[in-house]
Amino acid sequence: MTSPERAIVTPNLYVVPPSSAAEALDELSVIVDASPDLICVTDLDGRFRFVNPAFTRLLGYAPSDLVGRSSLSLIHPEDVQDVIDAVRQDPDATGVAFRFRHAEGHWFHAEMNRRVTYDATGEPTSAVIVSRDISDRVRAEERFRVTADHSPIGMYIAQERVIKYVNPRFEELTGFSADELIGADPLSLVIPEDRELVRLNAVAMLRGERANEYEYRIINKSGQVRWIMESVVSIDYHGGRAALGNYIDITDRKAAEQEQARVMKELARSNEELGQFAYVASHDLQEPLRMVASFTQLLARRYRGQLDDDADEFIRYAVDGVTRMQNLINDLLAYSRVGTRGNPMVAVDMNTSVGRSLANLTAAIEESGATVTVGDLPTVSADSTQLEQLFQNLIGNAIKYRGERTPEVRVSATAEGDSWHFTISDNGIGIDPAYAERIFVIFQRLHGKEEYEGTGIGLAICKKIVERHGGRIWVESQPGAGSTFHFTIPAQGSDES
Amino acid sequence: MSTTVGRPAEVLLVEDSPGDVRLTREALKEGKVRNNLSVVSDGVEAMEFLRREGKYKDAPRPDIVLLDLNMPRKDGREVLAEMKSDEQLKRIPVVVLTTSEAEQDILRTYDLHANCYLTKPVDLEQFISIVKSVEDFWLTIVQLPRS
Repeated sequence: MTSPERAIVTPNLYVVPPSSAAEALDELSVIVDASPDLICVTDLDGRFRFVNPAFTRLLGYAPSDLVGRSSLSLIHPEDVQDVIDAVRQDPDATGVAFRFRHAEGHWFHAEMNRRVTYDATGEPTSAVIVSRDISDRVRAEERFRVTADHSPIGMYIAQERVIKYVNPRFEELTGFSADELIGADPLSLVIPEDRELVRLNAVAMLRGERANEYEYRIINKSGQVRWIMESVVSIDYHGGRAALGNYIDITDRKAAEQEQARVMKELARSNEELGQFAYVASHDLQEPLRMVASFTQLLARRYRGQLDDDADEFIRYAVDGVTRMQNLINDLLAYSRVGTRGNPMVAVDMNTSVGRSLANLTAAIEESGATVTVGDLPTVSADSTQLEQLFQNLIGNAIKYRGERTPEVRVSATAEGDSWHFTISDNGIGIDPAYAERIFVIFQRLHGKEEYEGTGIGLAICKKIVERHGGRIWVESQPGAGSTFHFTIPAQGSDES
Repeated sequence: MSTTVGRPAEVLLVEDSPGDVRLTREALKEGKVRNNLSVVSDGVEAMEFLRREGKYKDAPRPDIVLLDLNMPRKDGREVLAEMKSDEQLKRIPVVVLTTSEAEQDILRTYDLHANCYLTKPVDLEQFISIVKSVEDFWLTIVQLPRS
């Protein structure tokens, strides 16, 4: 202790040197007084020589309580050996965590930095120990541990590609114990072909360049491949950056997804096949039917009136039956063509579609004196031929199934969420709600052929067209009170092609 | 030949369906042109007939061929291709008469230089009327090269 400056504080830390040693000492004692950290000086045996006011404030000890006591006596029995080992290894040990006994008996988490002071001859004289309150950190770690221990999510902490911590669920998911995992490279669990992807995704996510979880495969201890969904977040861990990984086993979900994709594909294939079947059947049925029809007609043409009355009647029924069958087959063909011979979806102005359908219905409109009021209609992504047919069938029905009154038909559309909602309402005979579903089934009719002609294909085709466009169709009606047919078409178009 | 008085028009029908053969025969019967209808039921026979081979060595040279497309052994497309690449046969008008409405059949047939493509109508009246039109157009209106 030759020079006061040297004894008090490292001189080069002064921005402006103190005017006197006394001033420097005063300042230093205030610093020690005011410090939020626990500062004490012990002799080389560990007995307290000095404690700052933080000891009273944080631990409840006045200096007089500590006379003759060893600092080790305030340390939790379970931590004493750790502290002794740390000091033995490095007398100037830093970052040693331990628990202080509070004067009232409970424990106080602290982390100490120790420095040995030396006299002029280089002999150690005392130890200065600065301890900091780390109870917040310990509580946070405790909370993390409790959470992690009971989490259904597998969690690990990796620092510089070395696993530092795993929770019980992680052990369960991988089949490896914490002892086997800690110290390993987290990528060593990943199947080789997924490793690069995992590394890139993890780096991107840690940098905040990626927000979503990523999926990959690991091999567990029993050699099974498991699908994992993971997210990683960058955390502070023992003074450095680390990655906290959250691991969910999605093997079952993946299997379910694959199964669902398989079923969907199978369903699409079977639908396609059914569509083809209906097409081929109706197409190929036409050939023999043409023979039956032609020769029955030839018979009628050549022999009507030349045989007896019975023969004429038989011929008439045969010709009539064949004609009806031809209509059915043609309608079936038209129905199956909705699915198999559709055009691609393009932007179609519905005003144009309705206009075209009205032009096709000119005869029916003029004959019935119908008035058709068309509101402002949107442009949607659609098969224009099919939409024209849809409007033609619906408006045509509104005119066909009229009552005593002159038909009045209204066509309008409103935006509803992601869809357009179209309505075609009339003042016609209406439909018993009991049949509201049935009328959309192929070849279902509600009236005798004498009352209203037709095979019962129109609304079935309408339904198929609407469904091909990703919408739905339904009717609201009461007998005698007119009908309103509703259908929706997605504003953005559907994926169907 | 369309104006040749006395000689009936020679029509070759290449058709595997007996019903269609009969219908065509009936329709031609109702027509006003006197004709001599020969019938073969597939493409192999058709080529033998046209080339007067084997049992067809005395076959007449047709003024017109009515050709079905879908037949066993050798189909109508092959017959058409062979006829149109044969110096002796290429000038005989070929009317394709089929049930197919497929766009690719129509294109392919015209690419092979068919003289016309007709779809067999389902209705008898229409069928008769089409056969009569063919007869009328190809055997009375059109000027065809001699032989």
